[in-house]
Amino acid sequence: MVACGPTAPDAANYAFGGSVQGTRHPYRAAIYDGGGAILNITGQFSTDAYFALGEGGGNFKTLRIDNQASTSGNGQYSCYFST
Amino acid sequence: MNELVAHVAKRRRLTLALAGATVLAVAALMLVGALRGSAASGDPAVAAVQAAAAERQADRASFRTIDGAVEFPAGVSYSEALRAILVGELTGRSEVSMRLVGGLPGDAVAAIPSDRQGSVVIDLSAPYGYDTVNGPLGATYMFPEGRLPTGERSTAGPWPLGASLAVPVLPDCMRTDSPARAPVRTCTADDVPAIDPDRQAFIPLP
Repeated sequence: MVACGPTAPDAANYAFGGSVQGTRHPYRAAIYDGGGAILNITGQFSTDAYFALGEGGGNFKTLRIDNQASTSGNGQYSCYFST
Repeated sequence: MNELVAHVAKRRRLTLALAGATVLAVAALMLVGALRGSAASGDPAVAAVQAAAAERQADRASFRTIDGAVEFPAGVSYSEALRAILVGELTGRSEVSMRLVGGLPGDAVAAIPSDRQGSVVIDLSAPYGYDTVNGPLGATYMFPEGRLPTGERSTAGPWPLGASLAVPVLPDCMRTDSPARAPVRTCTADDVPAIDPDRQAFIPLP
């Protein structure tokens, strides 16, 4: 599990996403609110990808990438908050 | 990846510098969002798509209680149908005609005919599929070929400019070839829709 964040400056006006490269597959990504509840979750990625999960208007707080194939979290992860 | 990290860092510095302007932009977007949300669709199927999306967002755990599905004309592919649902949810407009019908049987979230003579039907309880542990999945925007989002939004709707919609590859327990037939089996905790850009499982957004 890799977490990015904790937060975008103002999630109401931001796309919230990330990228994964070179990790083991599969993995999933989810965004959470401040209380730890999942607001949005992806399907299961089977390749490296750039993706966006949140797009404005949400109370987005944290993006987590859950590598289901390995607990080592190997690979490279990044998050973006795009205005 | 170093370029990516530098790019992200630069964007965040710019973001801080523009914080004051952002407050005004956020206020404007909230107004637009409020107007969009209050605009009732004249199409009952699109209205149902929007109502179901709001219901899923309000209570993830109860998504299975959402009844109804939308049927698309013959010739509309599963990818096109899913994109029409997303656009309908976010804009209240319909790209293609859709008709409100009864929910799909069993654990199915999509009826995808084996040829284009039949009609695609997508269940409103979880149009993008679901995870038996966490509930309905959300729409995922992809940026094919390693492109990063520019930060601009499409003029067609509230999604990132240049984004594509990831089209999930549904496990066989979540799909059927006809609304009259339940899937071949029920879903387990291991069944999760897959997203695979290498298999062209995405469709460009307008």
